[in-house]
Amino acid sequence: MMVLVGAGSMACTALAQPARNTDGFLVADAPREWSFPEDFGRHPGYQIEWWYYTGNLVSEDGREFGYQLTFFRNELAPGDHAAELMNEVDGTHVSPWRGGEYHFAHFAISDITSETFFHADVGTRGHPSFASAADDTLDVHLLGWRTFLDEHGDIRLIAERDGHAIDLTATIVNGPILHGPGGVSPKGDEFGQASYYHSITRLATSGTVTTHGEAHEVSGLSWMDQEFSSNQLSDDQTGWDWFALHLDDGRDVMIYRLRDTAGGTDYAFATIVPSPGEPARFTTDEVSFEPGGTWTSPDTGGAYPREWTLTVGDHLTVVVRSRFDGQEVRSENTGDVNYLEAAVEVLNVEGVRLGTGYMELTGYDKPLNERL
Amino acid sequence: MSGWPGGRFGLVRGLILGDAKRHPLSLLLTVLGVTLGVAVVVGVDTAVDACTRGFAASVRSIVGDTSHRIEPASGTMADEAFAELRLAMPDLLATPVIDRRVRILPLEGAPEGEPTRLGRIIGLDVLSAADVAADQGIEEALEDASFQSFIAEPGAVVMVKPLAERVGAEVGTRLRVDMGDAVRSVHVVSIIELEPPARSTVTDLMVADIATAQELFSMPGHLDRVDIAPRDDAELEAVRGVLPVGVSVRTLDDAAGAIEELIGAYRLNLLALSFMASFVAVFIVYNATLIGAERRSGTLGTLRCVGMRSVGIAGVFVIEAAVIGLIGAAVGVFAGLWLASGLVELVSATIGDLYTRVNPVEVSLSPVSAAKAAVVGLVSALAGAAAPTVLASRTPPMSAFRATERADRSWAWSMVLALAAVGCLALAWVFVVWPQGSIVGAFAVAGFTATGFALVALPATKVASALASVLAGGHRSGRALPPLLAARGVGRSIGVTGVAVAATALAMAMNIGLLTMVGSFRHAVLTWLDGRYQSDLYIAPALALEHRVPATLSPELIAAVEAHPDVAGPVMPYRHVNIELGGLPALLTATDLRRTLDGGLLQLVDGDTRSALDALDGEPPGAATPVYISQPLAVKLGFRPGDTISLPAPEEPFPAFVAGVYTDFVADRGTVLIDRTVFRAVWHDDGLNAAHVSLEPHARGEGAAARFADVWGAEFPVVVHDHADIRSETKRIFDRTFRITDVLAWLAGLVALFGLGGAVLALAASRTRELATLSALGMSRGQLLARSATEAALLGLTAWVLALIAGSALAWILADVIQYRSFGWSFPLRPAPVSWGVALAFVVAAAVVGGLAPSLLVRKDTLVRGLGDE
Repeated sequence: MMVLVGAGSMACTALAQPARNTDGFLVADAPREWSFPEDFGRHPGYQIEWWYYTGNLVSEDGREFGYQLTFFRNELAPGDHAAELMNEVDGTHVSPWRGGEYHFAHFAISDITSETFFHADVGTRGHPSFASAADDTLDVHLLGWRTFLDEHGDIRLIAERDGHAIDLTATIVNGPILHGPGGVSPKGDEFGQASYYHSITRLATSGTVTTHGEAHEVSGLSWMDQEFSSNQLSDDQTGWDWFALHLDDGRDVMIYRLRDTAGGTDYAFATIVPSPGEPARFTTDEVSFEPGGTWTSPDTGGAYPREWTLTVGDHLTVVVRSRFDGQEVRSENTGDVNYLEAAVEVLNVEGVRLGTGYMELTGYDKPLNERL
Repeated sequence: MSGWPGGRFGLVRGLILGDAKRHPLSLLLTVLGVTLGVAVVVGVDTAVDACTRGFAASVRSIVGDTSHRIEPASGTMADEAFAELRLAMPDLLATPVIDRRVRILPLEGAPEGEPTRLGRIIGLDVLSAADVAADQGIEEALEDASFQSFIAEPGAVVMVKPLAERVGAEVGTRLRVDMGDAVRSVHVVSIIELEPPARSTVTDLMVADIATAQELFSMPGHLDRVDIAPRDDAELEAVRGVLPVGVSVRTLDDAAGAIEELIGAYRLNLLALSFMASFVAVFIVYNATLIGAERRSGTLGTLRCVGMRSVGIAGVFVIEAAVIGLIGAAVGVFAGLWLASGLVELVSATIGDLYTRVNPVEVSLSPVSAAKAAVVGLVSALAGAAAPTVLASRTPPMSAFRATERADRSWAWSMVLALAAVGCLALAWVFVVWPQGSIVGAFAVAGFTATGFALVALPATKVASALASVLAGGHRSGRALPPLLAARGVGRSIGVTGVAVAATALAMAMNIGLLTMVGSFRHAVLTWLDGRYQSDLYIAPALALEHRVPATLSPELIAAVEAHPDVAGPVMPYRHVNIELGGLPALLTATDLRRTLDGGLLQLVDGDTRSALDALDGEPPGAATPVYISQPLAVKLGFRPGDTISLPAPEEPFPAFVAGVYTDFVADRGTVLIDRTVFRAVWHDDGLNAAHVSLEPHARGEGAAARFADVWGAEFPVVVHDHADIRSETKRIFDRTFRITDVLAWLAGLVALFGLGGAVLALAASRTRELATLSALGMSRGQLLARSATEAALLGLTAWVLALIAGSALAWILADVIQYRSFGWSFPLRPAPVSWGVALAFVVAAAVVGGLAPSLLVRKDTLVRGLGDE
């Protein structure tokens, strides 16, 4: 999962701690100490932060579903205002809107069996009562949608809109995994062009998926990303292709690339998490992407590749194929960014199924660097 | 026949234009009469219109595409209500809003005496409002660094250029602003120019982030409203379906139109007064037409002799009246606009005192006002000309040349008019006793009464002349001759003299009626004030007192007041919130009901205190909540003691029973008085708009208010008053409220004076032959003067007596019918002898003018010319 919002201007500032960009936001420029569950909470000072979930689930009667639920926290001005300004406004009376944050979320269900796709988005100014993220644990909520760590240490996911809903409990199997040393995940060569990025790559998930008012008891695997940064895309990066895969052999794979204006790879990265074993990380030279087939969105005109052949050095070559066409998210209420968020199946080159996963393709309707 | 049309046209043209050329003063007076009538109507209409359009502009222009508002039934709404709406309808274009007025204190270092300025702060969430209000240029003004300052820095505001210029602010300037409960600091992060038309109408605005606004107004977690822009009716219906409890959605048209509802009765009263002025104009045209017919009787006779039919004659006078009416209307429009520019400040101040703060827009003529002007001008001219036109057109050709016959025709008319007068007064009475009388019905009462008295003026003049003749005839001396001739002369020319009496009496009656009503009202208000305000000190926000803006007191202030050793017991609290009851705007006032009742602060007109005190004691347990209803509200909604009412409350409608109806002059909207303990629990509102303070005996006395103002005013933006201050402030507001009434009454009087002047001159003109004859027969100048003066005095006294009767009747109608039905206020009438004296002075002035004019005119006439007419 990559940035959807917030490409602030960037300049080389002094290497004092912590480093900030010219807008005054913190940047991910050096390894940091991580501590969970505290680091599941919000990280003030960074312009953008998100908590991202996808998963492939199956009902008892064999019906397959994919889902996405992502919470975004966008800081409007640098600083932790609610805390900093508590005593500056004539003593008391600090407004709950004072936090200086904008929260938004995207929610999608892919009904793979019936090949139908539902998506929704919502956003509002940060407010402790209805749009906030906890500081020291996982508890993010926005207008009734919520993800939090329950008393058993499991992650709960709740969202509902127009007769479509998820109410899931996810048990951590693998993770958190840091992508890059100290969690720094580079996205380019420029100063601060990176994010702090960790994933819970495998969550054993069960609960209810509701489509058109009909509830389905489901189980399967989910993926969780948490990422925070202040500037990621450079001027010549038009979008990204991102993949999170659960292989049946127990390995979890994350692969992404940032595309240049010619549509080629500008920067790439991959993490393979064996089961058991230490994660292995791979950079641009070791990762290749080969798109195949195209689906063109009738709504946005975006022409998205249907399947990909992904190669990570000698370690992995897989074909990733969208389960069905039309899994395009259009965030009309929250920035008007369009992207493909597709449940995928993973095959080997002979077409034998190896697992499931999700892919996110951005900047295909319009270059993302122009949009943000 | 071939020469006829041209010849007849020539005669007709000569009849109109020739007369106008020969008697320009008469024509001028007539046009002026119509002009004044039209000007008063246009002036009042346009001034009120400028105020209501100003209010509408302030409602509309800042919110871009917003078409609806979601507002709480009273007070504020919680942030969570906005969240509920967002959750239910994430696609809806909506922004939370705080919208309040503030008092901007002069910049440090400003010259001594620099006034405070009224400003307006709108707090909104620019992010959710981006699609709603982007067209106002606010977003553009918040680029880059200033956006971050705007969002992140407490007290950051964007200011419109006109306000920045007025207060001398630049980007970065820090201003001290009185929010009502406290003075806080704001700083300007950007100065913007709004797009037209808002650029010219929104000149006092500061825009703040919603967080900043909540902090500035000490209302964290609360909103005034949510502005929304539903894309279609279906989305609007969906909004209605998911509205949180205690809020409602209404269109901006509703919000802008609320002012019309609020000031409806006030506007109607002003309009009625202005129409009164044009009503008097009818008499002027009547006089002028009648006199014109007299003057042109020879020509009319000629026209009839050469075959012109009475319809043709009537046409001449109708055309003449229509032209006069239209010219009067045209000139009246300009005079009205000039008048409006003077009245608009008075009207806006009164609306501010009585209802809500308005910033009037520039005075301009609306098509409706222009149409009204044309109608008023034409109708007053045609109505005034109607009777003389009929008279002139029906004159047989030979009679037209005989003055004596013309004079005698008025007898029959006076009888008809007497009957009509009786009919009018009877109709007025019907409207008085009509059950469920409306405001319009109340004005019908006034209209019929005025018309009745105007009509009765003719037979009354006839009777007065007959009485005077009898009195003068009793003395067989030479000195009795002039009075006798005067008395008979008045009776003989009743068509002219009667109308002069009617016009004069009507003008004086208006003065007497208005002065009596206003004086009685004033006395009633001050008596009520003495009963209601029995504390030693009264504390209210300076913002409320200086700029008539609702504001609350700081809780810290109340704590400081109650902790002061000179203060005896807790303050008497008052909290006012706007509510809607029975579809009407009203005030809900929360106070300590027990102390109010025990202290006898309410003048009950119905109901008792026992049931309320029992209910407050919980006897029987679980008793319903008692409320007291002010008389205006009780009158409008028909509430009586024992009735159950449902008050709009945040969660759900709150039931209460009416324990009594009380006299109240606070607001014509009407007030519901509720115990503050209940109010705080149900409305979750601890605010106070005013506090009444009792002092320990040793601390009372002169200078106490100033002393405590120094103590509390240093820390809080409050004004501390004592009883005398409250009395003088009330008097000031009262007098300002009725200043426009005075202006209108005197304008109507002015119109009548023109009428009287015209009538007297006409009378003199019609008497030149008679005066010449008398002079030729040997009557001295002194005797002629005595005759004229007696004639004028007789007319004046008749008018005065009539005015006393009619004025008293009008005062009663104004107080007991119009005020009661318009505003729900009732009060006992008190005589106003001053108004009688003023009216008498008016009579004396008229007698002097009337006495001198004929004797001046007769000098210029020769015996031959005077007698030649016969």
